[in-house]
Amino acid sequence: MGAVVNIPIPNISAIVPEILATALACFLLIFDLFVPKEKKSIVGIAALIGCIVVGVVTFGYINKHVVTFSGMFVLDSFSVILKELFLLCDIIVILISLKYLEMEGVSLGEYYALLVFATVGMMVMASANDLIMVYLGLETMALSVYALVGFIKLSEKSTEAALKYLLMGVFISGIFLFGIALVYGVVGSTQLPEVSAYIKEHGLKNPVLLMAIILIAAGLGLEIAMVPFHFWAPDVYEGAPTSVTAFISVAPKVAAIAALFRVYIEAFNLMAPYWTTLLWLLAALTMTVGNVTAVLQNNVKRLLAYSSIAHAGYMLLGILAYNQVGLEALAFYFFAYCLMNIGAFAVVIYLKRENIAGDNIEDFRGLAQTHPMLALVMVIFLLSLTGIPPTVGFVGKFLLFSAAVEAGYYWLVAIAVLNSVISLYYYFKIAKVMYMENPEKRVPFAASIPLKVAVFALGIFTVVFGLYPHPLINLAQLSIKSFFG
Amino acid sequence: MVPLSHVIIYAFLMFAIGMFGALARRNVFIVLMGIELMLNAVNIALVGFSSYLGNVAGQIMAIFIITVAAGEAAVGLAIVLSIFRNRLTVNIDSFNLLKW
Amino acid sequence: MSWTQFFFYVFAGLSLLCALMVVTRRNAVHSAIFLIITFFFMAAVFVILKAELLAAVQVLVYAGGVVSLMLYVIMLVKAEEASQVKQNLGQIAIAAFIALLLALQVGSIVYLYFAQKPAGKAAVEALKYGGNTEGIGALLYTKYLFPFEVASVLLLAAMVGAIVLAKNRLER
Repeated sequence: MGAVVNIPIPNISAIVPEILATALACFLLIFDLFVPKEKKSIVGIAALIGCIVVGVVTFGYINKHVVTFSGMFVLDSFSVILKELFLLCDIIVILISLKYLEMEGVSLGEYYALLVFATVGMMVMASANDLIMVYLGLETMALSVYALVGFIKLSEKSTEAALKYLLMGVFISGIFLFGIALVYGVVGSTQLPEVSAYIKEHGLKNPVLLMAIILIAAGLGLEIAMVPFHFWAPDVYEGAPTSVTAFISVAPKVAAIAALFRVYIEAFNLMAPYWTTLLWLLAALTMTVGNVTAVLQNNVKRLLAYSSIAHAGYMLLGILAYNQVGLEALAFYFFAYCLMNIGAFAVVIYLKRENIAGDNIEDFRGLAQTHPMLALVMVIFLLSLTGIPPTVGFVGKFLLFSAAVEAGYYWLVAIAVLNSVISLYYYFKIAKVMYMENPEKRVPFAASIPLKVAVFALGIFTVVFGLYPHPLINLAQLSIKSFFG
Repeated sequence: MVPLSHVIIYAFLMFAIGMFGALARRNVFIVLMGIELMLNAVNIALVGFSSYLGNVAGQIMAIFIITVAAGEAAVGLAIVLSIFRNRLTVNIDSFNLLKW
Repeated sequence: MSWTQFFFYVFAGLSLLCALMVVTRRNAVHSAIFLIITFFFMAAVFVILKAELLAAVQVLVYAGGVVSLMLYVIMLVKAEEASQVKQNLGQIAIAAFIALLLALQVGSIVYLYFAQKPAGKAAVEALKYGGNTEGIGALLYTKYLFPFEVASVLLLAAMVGAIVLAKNRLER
């Protein structure tokens, strides 16, 4: 007979957001059964309301700091801010999906459930305090996203993109796991504070942990779309349904960057000299490759894919800076990036008509004459992505670059600024087509009201937070408490 | 008792074989099998570490990895099926609508 | 060299051999059969390393579940035609180079670090609770409760995703 196992009652109140989100996903699956085929957007509206409710509940935890489930799960301001961001992404993506799915002929309730499942995975990643939790959260998110990418089953592009993404993702997750296994072999545990304690005790000259640092960066680098793990991104972004592209260009990237930040800061803080060198190189490469390749693109979805690779490079500056300002800038940039990048993809969806995908640069021709308001909003997003005032992207880039300067990365900031100048060229290319050329022929757009609301609200917020960023900055400052006292 | 370093060599060889299969082959099923071998190599390393450290955490991680691998295989095969319905082939070379 | 050590080398060597067969066969069905044999030998290695539960899970889930599923899909999509495809020699060389480089590079570092340390101890938890399975069970429902729950959500998401993708064409 073995000893009696005492099952402790964990602090469930800390994981209420995750429980609610999972319950929402399950509810959507069941609710879907009772909704007739031609009215599946009702499920989307239910998902929308559900996400808002979960977001409101989650906000109540903003000032808490709880470590629970035997140190597996940490609830702090940083994780709550990230969870709010993921739910915000969900809300916007649902708004832009409602009509788009019908146009693609795949209006199914499971779409929304998978979206929420992916969000649960990312919420777990944001709160993971153990490498195995990072892995499980990552895979929950990834498996849902693979299915979402291949959601248009009749489209060869969509299914092929899903297969490419899955094969790359699973392959890299094997490498990531080897990193985790090495950490376990050396430390005897994968909990971040214990790894940190081990390094403190045994010194940082450990070749195996150094290997683990590289392998973990590779594993999370795939979702970040960091060079040299970026080459899946353009294909997947182009092939996936545009609403899903908008989602995966923001939420998983942010989740992976946040997880990388937490792992490096909490577990490998003493080995900072090593991983800052690694990230320095990767950040410089990611920015440059992303921007230079984007110049050559003629498909707007591919162009935005390379631009989002470049933005991942900028965000790595926030991890590199590794100080209070850097964390604050990173949290701010997450929101800025969410607004402007999803906004740009929403405009691509707006352009979708019968037989026209809306993602070729030619489809933007003369938009300023036919739809001046839409062209204006697109210009706002492009200005913001370039980092020109008065937009939220400018404030975000300013904060990130000044944090990096404060940490002493002058050369890297110089490279980043140079890259921003390059990016001006290809963003301007879209603006030029919209304003300087004449439209071919008038085709009425079939944009629905939710999509219009989403596009114009994103445009307005991009400008408003650019002129008056204090609410977002205050929110971002809360995250400092999580790591720097 | 088996030396830990020999278990490590075993794990790395298995990982290399799996990686070779995943990178070199054009048949999508064999690519998936190669990836499964890679995940199994991680399991070998985890079990080796677990029995060297005398703590079962590594074996529990291995169980999670098996769980995830099963889920990945299910989704991956579903994608292969839906591609086959569109295209009637499972050769990776013919998936070239999206250029690298 | 003790008998356990001897059997470790035998089973490890055989499983590596079968794994090589998996990645080199032309026919995917043959590969799948070799994969099953690989998993059986691997399970034997797990028993030698005192991970009995994992050995059972390995056979049940991998050999019994994953590979069977693969075989079904291979039969559904008639993958024999794919076996006629010409392999690109350059790609094979590059793949072999990358795989060997990684194995030798990382492997040698890790090997040197862990050299001369014995494996094959039974876990402390296993001794405390009276066996490998009991030890894992006890830990799975206490310390690893949260990952356990997340894994269940993961399986649900994977199931929904797989069904959505594999379900027959939509009726418009």
